[in-house]
Amino acid sequence: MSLVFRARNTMVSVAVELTLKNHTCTVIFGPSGSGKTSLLRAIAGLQSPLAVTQLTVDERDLRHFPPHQRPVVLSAQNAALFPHFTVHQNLVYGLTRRQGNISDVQHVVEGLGIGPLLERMPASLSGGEAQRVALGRALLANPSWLLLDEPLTNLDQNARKQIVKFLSDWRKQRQISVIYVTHDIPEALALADHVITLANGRVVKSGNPDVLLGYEDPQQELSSVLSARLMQHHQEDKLSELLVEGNRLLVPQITALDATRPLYLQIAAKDVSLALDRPKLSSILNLLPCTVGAIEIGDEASATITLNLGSQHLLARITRRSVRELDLQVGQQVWAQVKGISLQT
Amino acid sequence: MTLDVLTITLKLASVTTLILLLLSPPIAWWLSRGHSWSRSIVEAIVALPLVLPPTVLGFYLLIFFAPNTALGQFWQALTGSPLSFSFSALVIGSVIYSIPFVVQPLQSAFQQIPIGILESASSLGATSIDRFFSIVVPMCKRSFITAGCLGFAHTVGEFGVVLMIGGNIPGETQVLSIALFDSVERLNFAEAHAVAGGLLVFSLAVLISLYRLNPANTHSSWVSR
Repeated sequence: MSLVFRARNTMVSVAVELTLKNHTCTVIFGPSGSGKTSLLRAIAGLQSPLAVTQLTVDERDLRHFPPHQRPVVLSAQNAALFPHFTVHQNLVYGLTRRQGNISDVQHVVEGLGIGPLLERMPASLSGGEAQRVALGRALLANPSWLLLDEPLTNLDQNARKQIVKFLSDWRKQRQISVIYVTHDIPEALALADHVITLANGRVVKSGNPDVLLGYEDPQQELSSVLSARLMQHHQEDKLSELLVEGNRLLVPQITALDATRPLYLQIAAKDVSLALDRPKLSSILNLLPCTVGAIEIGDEASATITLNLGSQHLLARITRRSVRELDLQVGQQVWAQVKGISLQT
Repeated sequence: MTLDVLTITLKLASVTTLILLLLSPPIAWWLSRGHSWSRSIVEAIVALPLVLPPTVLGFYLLIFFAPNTALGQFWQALTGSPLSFSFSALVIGSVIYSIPFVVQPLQSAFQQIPIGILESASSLGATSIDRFFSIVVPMCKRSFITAGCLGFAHTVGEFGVVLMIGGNIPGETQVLSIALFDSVERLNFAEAHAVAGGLLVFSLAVLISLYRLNPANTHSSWVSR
């Protein structure tokens, strides 16, 4: 059981092909203008530069169905709440039309933290509040395929984490298939069973979340993603010990971990510094022995070093001056000192 | 002058407004969704009564309604009475004459509804008819009221078309604006003052209430958000 999508982008003459399994969450990743929104709109049946040549859900051809007859609900990036309805009326709009479950309202309202907003009008909501309501409205419409276009861009980190957790639980519980468009690596890693990266309307990579390892988003701070395994907890230091390619890493203690999933660590390139010898006295706990894989001198004062750590890659951003003074060469053994790690569970 | 004149005027304006409120939304909706040659032509036809002398419109309608035309004969066969110089003829004339006053406010209100709102509704399971009644009508509620009031007031105030096709039959097709003309012709200035003053006050009252309803700066402001 799956969704199969084939289309040609008539504007840049590029073909797109996707086969997505049911009950999975596919994250579509890519810079602005890469065609993410067009893809979702084409699947939902809205106007799009894509000329769809095939669209089947569970082998049923959907191409000639209008949006309201497709088993697909798209929630657009700008929330698009109905201005003449209260928040509560917005939430139940799709529910009443698509045979949603009225008893879900309470659960979704709590999960998204929008209880105090129910009687408000959309014009009085902040951008983040409106996005929560729009997400709730789409969830309550009870779709088999839920398409979310950057649904959390106006929320702060904490709220985003909470909502991603709720969404992840909800879609597993309800067996909803999700296609989720985002720019944000942590969001992608937290939700995805499957990741597709797009550039210029083309599918660049498609696979498990590992395809994001070493992904460079030109609009975001440069960072690398490593996969790791949890070894043990150090209660007295409130740290957890992870294993990456045979090397120990210590991170702030991990709670509520789903042990069946691999762990992904996001490390900003600017938080990685290099030393030729193993530093003996340092406040930095995490040291990884690496080999220099590539040196890319940037336009400004900085240089980006790709480090090979077993089969994985770690990016470091250091100054050009440091490259010269350390006399870095491709193939050289170095120690990477990692200052900051953010963990995506 | 009898009370009939007032009753007929109000009845004509009410029936005309009702028909216009049923007829105009689909036209205004179609006109508001994009640009094409056919739309420009329909838009021009709808706006024609704004620039055409009402007597021109009345003249053509008079000819069109005559008992020897296809429409005149069809009407005669259908209802057993001639169309020209009847109340029904007045209604048809008034609908045509007042249509821009109803279509145009609706069209501009429809154009201000962000397409994303309608797309959301559609993706959430609403059919096009459902979207029209659950989203478009409530979002444009004020414009519907404006359009209805303008259509009503404009029909009350019409003269040229009615003069040409109504025949000024007391108790049947004689309306206020024509009764005023009659009064003046008969040099009955007291009666003329009463009618003219009444129409003036009525029109002013309608316009003041419309501007109260739609203050210039808040008009549809939440629609364009």
